[in-house]
Amino acid sequence: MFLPNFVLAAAAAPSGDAHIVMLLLIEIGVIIAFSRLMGLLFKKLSQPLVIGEIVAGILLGPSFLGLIAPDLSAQLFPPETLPYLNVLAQIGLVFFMFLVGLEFNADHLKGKGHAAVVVSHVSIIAPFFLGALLALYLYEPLSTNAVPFTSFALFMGAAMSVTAFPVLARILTERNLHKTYLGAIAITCAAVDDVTAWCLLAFVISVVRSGDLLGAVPTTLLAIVYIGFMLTVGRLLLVRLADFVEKSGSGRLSQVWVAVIFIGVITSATITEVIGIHNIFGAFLFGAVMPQRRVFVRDLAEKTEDFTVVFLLPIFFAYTGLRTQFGLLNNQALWLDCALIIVAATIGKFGGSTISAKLSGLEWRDASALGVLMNTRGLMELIILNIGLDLGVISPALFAMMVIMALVTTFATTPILEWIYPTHRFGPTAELPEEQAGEAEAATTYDILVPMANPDSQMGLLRLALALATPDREQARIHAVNLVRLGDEYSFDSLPEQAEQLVAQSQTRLDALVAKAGGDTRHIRTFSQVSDDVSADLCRIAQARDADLVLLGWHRPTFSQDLLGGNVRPILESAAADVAVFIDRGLNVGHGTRIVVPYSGTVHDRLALELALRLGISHRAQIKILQATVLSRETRDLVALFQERVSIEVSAILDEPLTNIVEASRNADLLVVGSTPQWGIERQIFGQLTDELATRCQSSLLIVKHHKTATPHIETLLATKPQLVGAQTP
Amino acid sequence: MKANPKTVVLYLGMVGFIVLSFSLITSYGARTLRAPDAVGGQYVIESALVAGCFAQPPLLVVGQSGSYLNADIVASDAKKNVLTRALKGNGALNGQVISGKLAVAGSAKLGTCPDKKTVTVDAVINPEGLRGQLKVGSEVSPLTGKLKAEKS
Repeated sequence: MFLPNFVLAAAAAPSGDAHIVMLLLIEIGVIIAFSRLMGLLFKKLSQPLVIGEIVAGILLGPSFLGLIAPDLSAQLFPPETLPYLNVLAQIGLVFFMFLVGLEFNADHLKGKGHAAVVVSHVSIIAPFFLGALLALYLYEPLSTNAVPFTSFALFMGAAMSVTAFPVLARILTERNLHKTYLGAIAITCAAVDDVTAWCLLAFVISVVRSGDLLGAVPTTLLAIVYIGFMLTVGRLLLVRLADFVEKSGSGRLSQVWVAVIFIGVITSATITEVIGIHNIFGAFLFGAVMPQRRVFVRDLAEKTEDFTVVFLLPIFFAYTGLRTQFGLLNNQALWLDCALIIVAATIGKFGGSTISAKLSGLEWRDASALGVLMNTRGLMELIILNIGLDLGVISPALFAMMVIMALVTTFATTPILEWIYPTHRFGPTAELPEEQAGEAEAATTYDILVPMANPDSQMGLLRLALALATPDREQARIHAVNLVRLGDEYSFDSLPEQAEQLVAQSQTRLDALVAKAGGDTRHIRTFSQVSDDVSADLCRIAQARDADLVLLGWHRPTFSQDLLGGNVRPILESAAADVAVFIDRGLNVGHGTRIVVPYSGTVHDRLALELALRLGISHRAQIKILQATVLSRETRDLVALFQERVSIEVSAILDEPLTNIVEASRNADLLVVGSTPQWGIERQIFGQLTDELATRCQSSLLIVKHHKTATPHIETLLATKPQLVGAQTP
Repeated sequence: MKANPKTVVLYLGMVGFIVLSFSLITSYGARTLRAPDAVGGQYVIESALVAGCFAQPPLLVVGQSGSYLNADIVASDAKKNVLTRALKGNGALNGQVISGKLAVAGSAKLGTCPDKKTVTVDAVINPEGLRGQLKVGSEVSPLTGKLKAEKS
């Protein structure tokens, strides 16, 4: 049972307003929880969150819940609450469209060249033409004579032409494609499509409401006057407001100013509703004329988006789902019509964009990737379809078909784009920073990847990397990386320009850290980029850079007792390189640094010893090996090989390894330990035992895990032995 | 900003193409295509075959999507979710309206009458309601229906 019976019974018990409010609260709770759940599920399938939310809405509606549990559906979504859900959904749309307008940057439309102009126009005209053509076929079976053919054809054309700018921008940013030529064209085209689609929709609404094209003339003229007013007087007033807000205080928006702006949004929405075009157009327009790149715009977006996106939008999806009736598609002919709509929509958008992009000079791969991106319709399509259903211009069956089309075209985007533009070839990790690309000819013998989750506080990690790299000198490379995690979907921070700003800030922080590190930092390379999956991207970067070691910092996870929580465990498990996790307790590697290496005979312990030897060689550190088991012959040979140059002490066999190691750490600066079950760090052991060594250890700790394909870390030391002896640093 | 003449020509060409083609499509469509009448709504029906199953004359609820119909025969005092079932595509009867003739069929349980039976409604729509015949199982009887004020 979806909800306990007593909850629904309790909701049904009171009467009047209290009853409705209680039912609404239950409904909204269910809607938000289920839509987030489905969103996360679809994220796991590498799909946009919005697909999951749309599917959640449909599952709650008559097409699924109403079919499998009609009584529960009737209890949960009784008809008397639907008008209230509709009101909330409409308010949600007004504020969502304000956000869409706020995110609209007119700079996208400037100076992008011939290709962008051609593709953006063809990507509207081709689907519009096919939509109107398809109307000829669909009008008789799927409309009534209450709808004039002109209105029907106009609506079909407009509904086919839409592209989901937020979903497209998110996909581009996630894949770091927004900085490429393809990304620039895609964003321009989507922005043009966005504005055109809303203008077109406003025109369609005026035609539908007035009945014919001529009747729409007064509405259209009034709309043009209002747009002109907003672009001139409205924009001027908002620029002055921005100046005033930024000059007074910190430039942050106080609640009073938020209220003023919200009143502006509502007023603009009301005016466009009164004019005869939809209220969402006024909200979009108000957002679009807000001055861009102002601190307060970002502040305003952050204040508006959480409530709108988390609370109100799911209600819109659920309301849409409650109106989506797949049961109406109850014969083969209707499903064939549905397939035809999908094909026409895809040929119009994907085909039109791809062919025009190819004719404009793009390669087939880029042209088809652009076509796939433009074919994303997502939430924008649902907005248009709901308006069409409200106006009575499309029938419920056609509405259901168009919802399927929106789902299919959006769902197909990510896998097809991955096929055309594989992440491993064109994704974030494929991109080399310019200065690094220039030095690609300089071969390296030792590469350390150092992910910096917080560049401001990880000096110790960088210094340890420098110490480990010292033996290879000029031929070593330290890749200090900061991956900027994208905000949630629809968030202002995940827009390409905003993400780039965050990347630039991160790069500055990384460079400042390197400058402060001191010593020879010539072989440190820093770079930042956006990432939607930090651990997976780091593994890819490690592979792309052929890293010998991934050196991670550590912080205690907030909600977990797992020592290797957060991104650490996925990297430990997936990276095709040796990984070391550094728990810094004030380590300063230098002459006489005391390093303790517990040994239990595993490959991870061998790696621990190798890393300790690197530090010993470069900084004349003292190494103490604690034998839990007798050293293997190879390890004894290794110790013998380096004993002349490094102070190495081998302990007697430990009677109580864990206690002995903790005790030894009292007199050590660094404990280098293999990820071995005996120390309680192997993945099978969780909870307190896992943490035991880390928590009881009195020195800094380096936990290491060997990867079977990794090269030994002393190979270069052995190969360059004569030089190394003379090259030791004091 | 200086516009590229090639781009301007292309832009005007595309706009001209869509305006012209859309005019042709709408003029052809408006002249030749005839969509069916709007027949969706609730009809209070009377027929000898349903009289024994309902205390009061039942409702024929018709949900319409173009020419496609989804319908139910339910008690006039049925709950709202039952009354709206056909509008959501979950009604027991399916069919089409072609040239003003409504034809829906399916398997349905009528009111208090036991067992599901095959039900067929064939009727002609007129301004007041509908007139035709109702077939339940193998029995056939005349049917009249008056449109309730509230349409779907």
